[in-house]
Order: sequence, then C-alpha cells, then structure tokens
Amino acid sequence: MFIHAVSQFVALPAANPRTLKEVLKGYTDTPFRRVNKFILLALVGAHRCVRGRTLNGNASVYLTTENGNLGDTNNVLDQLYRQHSLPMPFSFINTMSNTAPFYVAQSLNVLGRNLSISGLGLSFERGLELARLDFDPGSVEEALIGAVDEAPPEGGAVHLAVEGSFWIHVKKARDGALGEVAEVRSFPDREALAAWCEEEPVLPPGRGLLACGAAVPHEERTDWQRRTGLAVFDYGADYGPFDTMTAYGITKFLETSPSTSLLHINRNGQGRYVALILHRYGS
Amino acid sequence: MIKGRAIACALGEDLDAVVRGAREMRPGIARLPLTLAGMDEVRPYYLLSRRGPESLSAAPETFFYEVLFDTVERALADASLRTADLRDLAIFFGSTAIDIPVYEHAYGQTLRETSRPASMVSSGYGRIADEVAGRFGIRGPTYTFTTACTSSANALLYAAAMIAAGRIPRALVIGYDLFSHLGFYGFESLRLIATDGYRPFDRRRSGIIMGEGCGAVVLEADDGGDAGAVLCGGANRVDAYNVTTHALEGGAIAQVMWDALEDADVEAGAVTAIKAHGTGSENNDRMEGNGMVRVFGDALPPFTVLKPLIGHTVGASGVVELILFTACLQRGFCPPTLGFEEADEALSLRPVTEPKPLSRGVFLLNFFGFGGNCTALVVAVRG
Repeated sequence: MFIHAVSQFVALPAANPRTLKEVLKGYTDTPFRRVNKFILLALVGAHRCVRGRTLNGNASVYLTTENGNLGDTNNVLDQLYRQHSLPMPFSFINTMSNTAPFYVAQSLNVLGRNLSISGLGLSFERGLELARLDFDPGSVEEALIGAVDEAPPEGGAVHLAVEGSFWIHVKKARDGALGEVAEVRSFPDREALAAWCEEEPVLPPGRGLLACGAAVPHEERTDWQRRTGLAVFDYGADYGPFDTMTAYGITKFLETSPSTSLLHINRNGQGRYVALILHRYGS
Repeated sequence: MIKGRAIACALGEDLDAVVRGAREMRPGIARLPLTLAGMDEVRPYYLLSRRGPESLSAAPETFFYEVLFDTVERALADASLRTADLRDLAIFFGSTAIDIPVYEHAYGQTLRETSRPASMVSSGYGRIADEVAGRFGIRGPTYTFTTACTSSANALLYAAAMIAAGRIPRALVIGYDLFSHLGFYGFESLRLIATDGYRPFDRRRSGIIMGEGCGAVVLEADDGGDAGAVLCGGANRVDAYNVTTHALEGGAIAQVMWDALEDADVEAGAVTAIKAHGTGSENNDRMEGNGMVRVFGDALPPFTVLKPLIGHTVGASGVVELILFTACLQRGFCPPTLGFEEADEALSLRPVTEPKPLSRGVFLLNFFGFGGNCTALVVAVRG
C-alpha cells in the first residue's frame, strides 16, 4: 500500500464551522450545507490531501475516529432533554459519524468502500489494517484513509488543546509514491510485541526511527528504543495529547523526514499493541 | 462459517423460541409515548423480550452490559471454544447508537440535578468491544464499525475477509443497538416512523418501526463439510446521491449486489432467495426493488423482509438478521414478510408471505443505511 500524498489539519477546539468552511473554500468550490464541525474537519483534511487531483471513481474512504461526532450529538441531547423538542433532522442525521466519509466521497466523486472505523486508542491503526486487507487481494486499489476527531464540547470532563484531521492518499501502484505502509501488526500484549522485535530486527539499527503513541509510558519508550536500537522520532510534545495523535505523527514523519523508515508502536488502555512500519522514499 | 451464535430481540432470546415466533408470525410490539418532546402521541417499537415496563428509565448502563455480555456468553458457549481459542479471538463490533443509550441517560439525570449539565460524550466508540474482550479474557484485536444501519453487516464482511485471508483463525462478530431517545426521536423528526403497522413493499406502507437487538456470532474458516452456514463473500460501497436517501433507480444498490456475488464467485442465477433490507419506507422499497430487478431481471428469486418480525434494529441488523434468517433456514423454512398484503403497482414485487419450505442454498442479504452506505453479503446454508 503506497502513500502518494498526506495532509495535516490541526485546529483549536474553538474553531467554529464558519471558519472551517472558509478554510475548505481554499481547496474546493463545492458548497456544503447542513454539515457540522466533525464533517467539516473531515472535508478539510481530505481535500487538503487530494489538492484538486481526480481520484479513481472506485476509490474508497476509510475514516477513523475515537469519538465520532460530539458537537451535534450534544446539541441533539440538548434539544431533547432541555428544550423538550424533536431534534433538528440534519442534526440527528449528522450524529452518525459515517456522514463524514459520505460527504468526502460525494465531494470527490469516489464510490468505493465507505467506512467509519474505531478501535479504542488505536483507531487509525485499525483503519490502516482494514485498508491493507482490502488492498492485498486487489478489492481496493486507491483510497483515502483519515483520522478525524473533534475536541469534546466546552464544559466536558476532558480538555484537549487541539483537534484535527489527518489523511493519507494510498494506491496499490508505486509509481510516484512518497512512501509505503509496509507493516501493520497487532499484538495481544507487550510480551508478544517484544518477542516479534527480537525474532529479527524490525528495522536495521541506525537505519530508521522509532516513534511511540500517546499511551506508551516514558519508561516503556526507553525500553523499545533499547530493544530496537533506533533513534527516536518524537512528535508527542508538539501539541500534547489529542485523539488523532498517531495520524498526526505518521503524517508529520511523511511530510518532514528524509528518506528513512519508521517503526511506530502504540498501545491502548487494555494493553493491546499495534506496530506500524512505514518507509519514506527520497524525493 | 458460523460456529456459534446467540440473539436477543423482540421475539425472544432462546433461538428455538425466536424461530418459532418467526414461523408463527408473533411479533411483540410496544407503543412508546413521545412525551420527552412534549408530544401527546405514541409510536410502535419492538423492545427486547426481556424488557420490563420500568427498564427504559432504570439504570441503562447495567441493562446495556447485561444484555451484551449475556448474548456474547451464549454465542461463545454455542461455539464450544477452548480457552486458548477464546484468547485469540478478534472482535468485530457494529452499532449505530454505540453507547448513546448509556450517556444520554446520564445527560438527562445531570440536567435534573444541576439544571446545567456538563457535556456528555461517548466514552469512546471502541470501548464497548474492549469491554467485551475484558469480560471474557479475549486478547485479540478489536474493530468497531459505525456505518449506521450497515454497521454490523460491515463487521461481518471484514471478519469473514480476515479469516479468509488467513490473518485470524476466528472472530466474534457482534451487532448491538438498544433503544435510545436520540434514535427514537431522531427517526420521528424525519417523519419516518410508521403509525399503523409494518408493511414493507406493500402499497399501504407507512414507514419504519424501530427495534432493539443484540446478535453475536463466532465465525471460523469453512470446514468444507455438508452442514452449517457459511459467509462466502460480500461487498460495501457508497451511493453518493444523498446523505439520507439512496438514488431511486437503484444503481448503487444493484452494483453492491453484483460486487458481492462476484466476491463470492456466485452467479445471480444461483441465488436461492434474498433477504431484503426492507425498512418499510417508500424510498427503500423503490430503490431496493429497482436494484433487485436490475440484477435479477425477470428471474428475481423469492425475497423476504425480516423487520416486521423484530423491528428495524438499525446497526445491529447485520448480525441479528443473519442469525434469524439462517436459523429459520436450518429449521426448514424461509421466514415470511409479515404485514405484506397488497403489492405496490409501481413495483409489482411480492415478497414471501408465508413460511416457505427451504433449507439450503445460496442467499443474498442486503443492508443499506444513512450516509449512502450499501452492503450485501452472500451466505451459503447447507442445511
């Protein structure tokens, strides 16, 4: 699965839909009505990744998210419980997170698979895994894979400094690619990942970088560095923790790193692990 | 192939009782008030058979996980997995509402107590699958699909594909949607809920009746034997016509059926019968009817709709309807489309209206949802 383009869009949680619509106008003339913040985040990221190119009509869209739509869901609960009225119809429809990949597909005229996927703390990794499953037998030959999450509404228990939308454009064809998703592998626990790392060098020492997801504790990162002998690619300090952080790190690596490889290790609260290996080609 | 399965729906929880209810066409439909929105009206709804009258307002988190864990436990027991097999299971979870039934209750309760509730949000779309894993000692990967009414159909599609590709030995696939005010009042806001009976494909149709359901299946690679039900392939694609409705001419609907048949290496002429999506809305009847005619022409196989028996279980419908449909076939009949009486002249399509003797063959199962999502599955039943 070869990577042909990437995009990053990081926003302050205070960004309102009108601001996002203005940003979106820089990438597409398509007018979008009755869309909410979550959908606009997805559209900005996806169109920024595509940048006006025409995709194959059978291309697929895999949107990964930790929490899906938050703002409109909260609005609908307010309409029901506080205002005691029926929800606004499009607010209700837009509580369903798959409306976001729908609008991405509609605006880019891509009619292949269209999915909204999650995996606790590992959503982007799960999306990559399922996309590779479709690419290997040739069921899908071109796709957009994105990670989108809005920050919880004001007054919520969790405060995040930023929210974001990060996308990669992948094809089965290598010509013109800037990199490759070479491995996506799941592990039931830390020991299984450690055994995999010891079977054979995942990447030759000194020939790549190591990055760890937000939930990997500091002392564990040091252990992975020792085991792999790889230099560290640290993206966690840029904005602090947020839900689409892995996709941020991956797209940052692909946008800024020289020709090299990346081993990305992430875990969730239940101790499941996913390892990614990406190669960044020289320009 | 389906190694184990369990269901909780309006017809019951014991599979034999559920099948008997389908054969005897005995749905249990409640009528729920719309008082939360200040409306002096009621709407029909297919509640789980285990619901008592108080359960819609009682601690929903406890009820939510009781139903889920109980259904999964029964499916795992039905599959007779060894402890080591259980540990390696991958979980594929599909739902429309995810944990909304839990946190909307918390929102309402906080509002009563403080008059200014803190924002309530999901505890993470992936959390429910991980809760199941934690409860049963499962350490395999977990995947959650939220594609509206195709959610658990897509979970089935990817679980089967991952097994076929040899990446996992077996999977636990769950479809689960409980009653939520957000969903109930949301469908009412769209004016989609039927007021007087569920009649898909009937010219007197008046809309959808929602239902709640939980289904769990354990899938393994096909053993090549001469019994059981096997998920042989399927497809997903998007109809970009509109976020709320599919194109009436049924082009994308037809294409996903063709894609599914091609994936399963099955000719259209080899399809024994179709389980239609059949929500009961006029738009669904027209686009699905047109799509089926595009694929099968004058040789349309018998088709049926299960929703009048159990309600539209939205994101759970993929797994719940797979279980109900295959269990009926394995007991010798294709379940009927309850409520159908008069054909729509514009469609001229008549679903199966009485239990039809049928116990084996190749079947096409359709699922469609908001966001233009289209999924079709091909299932072989060997008796």
